[in-house]
Amino acid sequence: MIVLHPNTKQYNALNGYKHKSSELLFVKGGSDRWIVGLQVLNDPNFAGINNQLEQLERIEYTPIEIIE
Amino acid sequence: MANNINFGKIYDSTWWGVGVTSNNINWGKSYLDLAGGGGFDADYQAVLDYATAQGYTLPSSGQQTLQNQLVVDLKDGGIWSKLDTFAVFATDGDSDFALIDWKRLTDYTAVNSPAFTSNQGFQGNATSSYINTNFNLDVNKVNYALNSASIGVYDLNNQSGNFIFGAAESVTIRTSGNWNSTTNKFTRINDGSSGFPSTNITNNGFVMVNRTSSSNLQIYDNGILHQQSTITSNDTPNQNLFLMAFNNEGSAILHSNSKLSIAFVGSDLSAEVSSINTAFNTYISVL
Repeated sequence: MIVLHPNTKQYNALNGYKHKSSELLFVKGGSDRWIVGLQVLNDPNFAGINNQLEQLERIEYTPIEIIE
Repeated sequence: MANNINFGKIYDSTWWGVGVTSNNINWGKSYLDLAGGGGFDADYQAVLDYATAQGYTLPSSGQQTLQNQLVVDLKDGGIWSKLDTFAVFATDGDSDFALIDWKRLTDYTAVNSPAFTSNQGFQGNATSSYINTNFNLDVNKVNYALNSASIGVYDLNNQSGNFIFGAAESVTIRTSGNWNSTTNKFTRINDGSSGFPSTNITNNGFVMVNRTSSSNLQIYDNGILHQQSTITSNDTPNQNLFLMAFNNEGSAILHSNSKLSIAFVGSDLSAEVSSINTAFNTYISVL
C-alpha cells in the first residue's frame, strides 16, 4: 500500500492543518517514518494544501507492530 | 374529551386567561405524532440549529424526522440522559453535519480524511485516518465513570484487524475496542487487560462494551451478551477517545478500516442495551 511521506520541512508546513471539521496529522508507520494515506489528496477540506500534498514522497506502507 | 387532531407540540402548562382555573382536558403527549410537521424534540432541534449556525448542510426533511425519532426513542428508553457524547455518522447531511456531537453540540474531528459515505458513515483506511471525538474520558466525563461506563458503536465493516476505538493514559489505564482479531484482543474499559473477549465478534452492527462495577465488564453483540469478565478497573483515561484507531497516550496507532455509523459514550447501559439496539436498527434499516 502506498502512502505519503513528508520531509522535515513539509512536515512542519503541513502537520496540524485544519479546515472545518477536518485535520491533517501525520502518524508514525511501522518504519518509524511520518506518513498519511492517499485519501487526503481527494479531501475537499484539504483543497487549500493540495498542491503541497501532491509533492510528498510516495512510499510503501509498513504496518506498525502490536504494542504489547 | 378525546383528542383526535394533531395539534402540534402541546406543552405541559398552558395559560388560559383570566377567570379560567382548569381546562379539565388531558391532551396527552401528542408531539410524538408530528412526523415531518415541525415540533421536533428540543434536543434534536438544537442539533439542527447548531448545524445551521455553523453553515453545515442539514439532512433531508425525511431524515430529520427519522433522526428526531431516534432521539425520542433513546429518551423513551431512558438512554439519552445517560449519554455523554453521541454522534450519528450515517446521514444524508454533509460530512460536517455527520461529525456533530449531539449531546455536547460540538464537533468531532475527521483526521486524515476518513472516507465519508452518505447514509453509511465514516470508514478508516487502516493506516492513518481516524476520528477524534474530542471527548476526554477523564476530563469531560459526566455519566461515564470508573465503574459505570459504556461505549457503543454501529460498525458496518467489522473486519479482523485493529482498533475500533481507543484511549490510553498508561498501560494500566485504557479504554479500547478490538473484538475481532487473532492477536489484538484489547477490549477494555478503564483497565489494562488483554485478551478480552476470548472469542471474536465477527458480525457487523451494534457492539457495546460496558462496565457495571469495579470487577464486571461485558461486551454485547447486537444487543445480546457476548461475554463478561471480572477484569478490575483502575482509572478513567485522561485522553480523547479516538474512533477507528487507538489513542496511545496522545498518538494515533493501530488504525482499522471500520465503517462507523453511530458512536456513543455513557454510563452503565447494560439494562438498556436491547432498547439501544432496537433504536439504532430502526434508524439504520430505513436509510
